[in-house]
Amino acid sequence: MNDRDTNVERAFTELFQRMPTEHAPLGFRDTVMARIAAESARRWRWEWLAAFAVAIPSLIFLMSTLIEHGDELSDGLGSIANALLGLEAWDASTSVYVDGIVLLAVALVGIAGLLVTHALLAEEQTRSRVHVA
Amino acid sequence: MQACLAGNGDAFAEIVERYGTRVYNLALRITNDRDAANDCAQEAFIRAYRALAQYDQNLPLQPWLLRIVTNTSLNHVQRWHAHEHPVEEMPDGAEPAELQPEALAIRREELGEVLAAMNALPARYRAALTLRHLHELSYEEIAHALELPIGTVKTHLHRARAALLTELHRRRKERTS
Repeated sequence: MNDRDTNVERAFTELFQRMPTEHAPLGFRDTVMARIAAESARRWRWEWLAAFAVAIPSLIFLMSTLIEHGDELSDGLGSIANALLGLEAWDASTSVYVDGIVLLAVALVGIAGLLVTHALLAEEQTRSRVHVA
Repeated sequence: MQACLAGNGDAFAEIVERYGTRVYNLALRITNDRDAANDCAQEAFIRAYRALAQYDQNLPLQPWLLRIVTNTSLNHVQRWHAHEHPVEEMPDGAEPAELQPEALAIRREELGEVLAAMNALPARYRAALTLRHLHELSYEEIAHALELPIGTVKTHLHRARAALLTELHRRRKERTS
């Protein structure tokens, strides 16, 4: 860059520095922070909805299974507890039968729990950053 | 910024407070519309907030924010005003042979004319001029903000300055005749 170019650069910079600047509109900061809070809330809402969508059918299935096979489950658990305490011998009745669908339902409830935990943590983090009222 | 990333309350609000006017003025120069500038500046801060995790704390904050608002504002101009002022296209006869610093001896009452003359330039040129001469960014930072090679930025700036002077001359002539 030669001297003339440097002078031109400087002259333009001086000119631009003299030009009037405008303040950001009144309430600009609050509007930005409110929009950030609203956007975050939208995201948490989706996580909560997804968690409910995953958890509710699984919980209903688990409840119905428990109502239907609750006696077998309590007998099985009682036998295991007695065997562990040495009150009974370990035999074929000292067991609990859990099928694949039940395991899947429990896993889905776990995933829903993770989603809710993430939503709560993200919500708390954003609250501390943007001070949502 | 570190406080903001660490989850310190009010830290991001303080960033908005500190850089709000600068970000808004850059958006205003590029869009030439107060409402659009307000929207673009707000959008830029929201994008910055979303991208906080990717922000490199070793780099200065201002060029990063200016880069975001430049992109947001240019996108706005491209979306809403492409038919009026194409982002890249120069007005006819906008390139005089010589640039003389003396031509920039402008009185205070003529400063508004400079702003009006700037609006005749394509948005990308307005952005380059503002980033260079108002915010005093380096060529490298401007190249980063505009996503252009440094050589192209230098050419843009040279042509933008020349076009601005031509437009100012034209306006002066019109006023005196």
